[in-house]
Amino acid sequence: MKKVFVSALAIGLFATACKKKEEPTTPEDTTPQNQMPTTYNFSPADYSGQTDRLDMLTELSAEMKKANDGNQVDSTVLLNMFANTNSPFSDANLNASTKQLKNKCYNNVGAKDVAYFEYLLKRQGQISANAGNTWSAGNAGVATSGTKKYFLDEYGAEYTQIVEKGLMGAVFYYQIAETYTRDSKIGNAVDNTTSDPVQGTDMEHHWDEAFGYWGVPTDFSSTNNSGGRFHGKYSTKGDAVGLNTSTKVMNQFIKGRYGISTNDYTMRDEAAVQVRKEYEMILVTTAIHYLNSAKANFADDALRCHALSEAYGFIFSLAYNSDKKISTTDLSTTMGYLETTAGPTSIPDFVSITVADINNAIDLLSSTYELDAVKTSL
Amino acid sequence: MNLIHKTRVSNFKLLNSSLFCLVTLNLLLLSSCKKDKKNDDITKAEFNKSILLENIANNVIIPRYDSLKFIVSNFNQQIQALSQPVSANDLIEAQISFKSAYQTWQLCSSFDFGPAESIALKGSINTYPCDTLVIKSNITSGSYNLGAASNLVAIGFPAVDYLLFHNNVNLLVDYFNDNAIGANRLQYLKDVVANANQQVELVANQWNSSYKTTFLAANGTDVGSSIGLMVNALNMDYEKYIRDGKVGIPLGVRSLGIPIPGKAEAIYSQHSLVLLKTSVTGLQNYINGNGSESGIGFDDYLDHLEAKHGSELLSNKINTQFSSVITKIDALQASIDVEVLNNQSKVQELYDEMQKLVVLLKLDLTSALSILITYQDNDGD
Repeated sequence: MKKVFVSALAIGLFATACKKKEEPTTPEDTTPQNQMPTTYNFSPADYSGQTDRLDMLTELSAEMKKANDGNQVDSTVLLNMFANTNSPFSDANLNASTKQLKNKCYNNVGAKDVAYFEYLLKRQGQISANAGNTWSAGNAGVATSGTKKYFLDEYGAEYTQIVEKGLMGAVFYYQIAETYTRDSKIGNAVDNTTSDPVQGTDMEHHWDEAFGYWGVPTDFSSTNNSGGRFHGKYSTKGDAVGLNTSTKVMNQFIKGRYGISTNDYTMRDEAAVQVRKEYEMILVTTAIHYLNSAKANFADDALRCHALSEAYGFIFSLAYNSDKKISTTDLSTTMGYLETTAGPTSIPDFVSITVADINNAIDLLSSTYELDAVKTSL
Repeated sequence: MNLIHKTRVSNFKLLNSSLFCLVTLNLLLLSSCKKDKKNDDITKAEFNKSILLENIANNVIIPRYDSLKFIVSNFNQQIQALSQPVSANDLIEAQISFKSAYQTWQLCSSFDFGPAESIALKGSINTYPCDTLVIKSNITSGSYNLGAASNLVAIGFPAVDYLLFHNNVNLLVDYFNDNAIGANRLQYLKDVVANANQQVELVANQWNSSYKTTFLAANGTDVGSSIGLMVNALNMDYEKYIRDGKVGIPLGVRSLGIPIPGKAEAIYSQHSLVLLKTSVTGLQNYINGNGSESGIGFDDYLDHLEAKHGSELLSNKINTQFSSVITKIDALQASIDVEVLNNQSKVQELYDEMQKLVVLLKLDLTSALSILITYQDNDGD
């Protein structure tokens, strides 16, 4: 017994020594603030506004999910949650918060905008009058698989997932990709000298806000990837097939913040480009994951429609980055595989979809993002 | 193993209380690891997984797909040759071929990875019960896309089971020769069988060409390795499709113990018992690597690792449990849809034995082989 203890102690020390090794060890760099940290451990740093918005989406999502249990949901409440009006949240801090999802949501041509999400929220309220019915093709209702229940529209679309994953794109990803990693927020014209005791400099704060939208603990990585929310939770899909998605995104966030705090703007600008690029991989790996899941459960209406609703939200989210790797045409083709043309617009249709449609979507995404080698494992 | 780094003095300064906690945790984890490896002193040659893969591909999977392809293709030719007026004899011959094709499929349903997974073969070939309303509506309209998700309940073996079987074969003859709808009905049968044939052919051909190379090359045990794919697919097939689909759901395990005979397999041809037994014995042979001759399988892999269940070799335990399941199947006489009503307790006994096998395959086997079960969606939403 004692023997075991001694050798374990040695290994215990070895493990500690190992951790240390990753840090730069040149003699000049002994003071901690001069080393790039291995976690997003900066001070001062504040992204409570982002945390508020993540919490708001959590409540909005939970409210929509009430339809899964057969209840009609009130679209007024959903719209209030989107805009944070009339104190709709159960968390009083959110009602008191000056933040909201709606005014940070993408609202322009070329991608799903505020009106689209409001339309889904309204329609969820209307059609969930049928939440007491069993779903069938052509009739909104609750589809069941084992213990899982999803409220779907007549085409099998689960608005809860499309709204949740869609707003993760239209608010969180859009703000990261188009606002907080761009010149207007972190360019040289932004103040990086006056340090607020809570938020740091403006430039630091803006970068922290981008990080805050990811929804992960500060020590998140591909080998320590639990505890993430929203896109943070889905960063693990790439990790599971060896793409190290979480670590790659985290490293770029750390690098950018470190660059800003040390006035190394080359480093900052490199990280800004890279963080958008790596973050995009979270969306695409998760989209492929759900397309695979839809295929694996193709005969199960509840699971297929749920997975496709998730996938659809992740796919159209790719649009919210002007540097996106996929072309606008290819993105629209990919979405088209999941849609039908009903009247003047295209809407998701998970009833008449075929396996070939799903495979086409997977193949176009995987070839664009060089994921062919892992596309079946995602 | 010998990468011990020198611990610099400065590191000791960092050993504050939280690090001590970490170290303590390390100690606990590492010392428990050590225990497991105590009798691993004699270094053993690693199990040659390539031999297992070669045997399973050449001796089990490919021969089974080849025979499915052959049988379904013959069945398809037979069906395509039908024309009005259809005779009772035509239908009886088609029924015989159908039964044998459906039975052969049972031997391939555990291979839902690679080419089969890519086209979702299992869903399109054996989603049951079929929806006779959708089938009738397709027949009436004469216009349908058999690949659409909404038509999964109207294609594959279950649809053919419905189209080809009836208590009264003369009535069936009349259906196919009916002036108004007979031609559409016959055409629908032909389209459904052709669709199944085309999909089986696609998968069998891929196994005989490019996919075999891919399969043999992925010889690790990580996510995406062939062993990982096989173990996941066979567990999912056993748990979800064999235990639940063929037995549990008709028995009523998802419906407060109230049997739902209509959810059993092959309710029109009434040969679900044969299909069940074929799938269970097929799975056992697959796990043991046995085809036309016995070969290296998961049993050998487990024995190499000296995997145990209690004091017994896990491979023996698994095979004994398969025998217990088969004994319970043999105790039944009629088809499952009949037995869940007339002999519910015996079907329950079968289900209970089947459940014991889930534990051995999904927990013991996977942990012995260090395979991660990935088919469960842990999203919780």
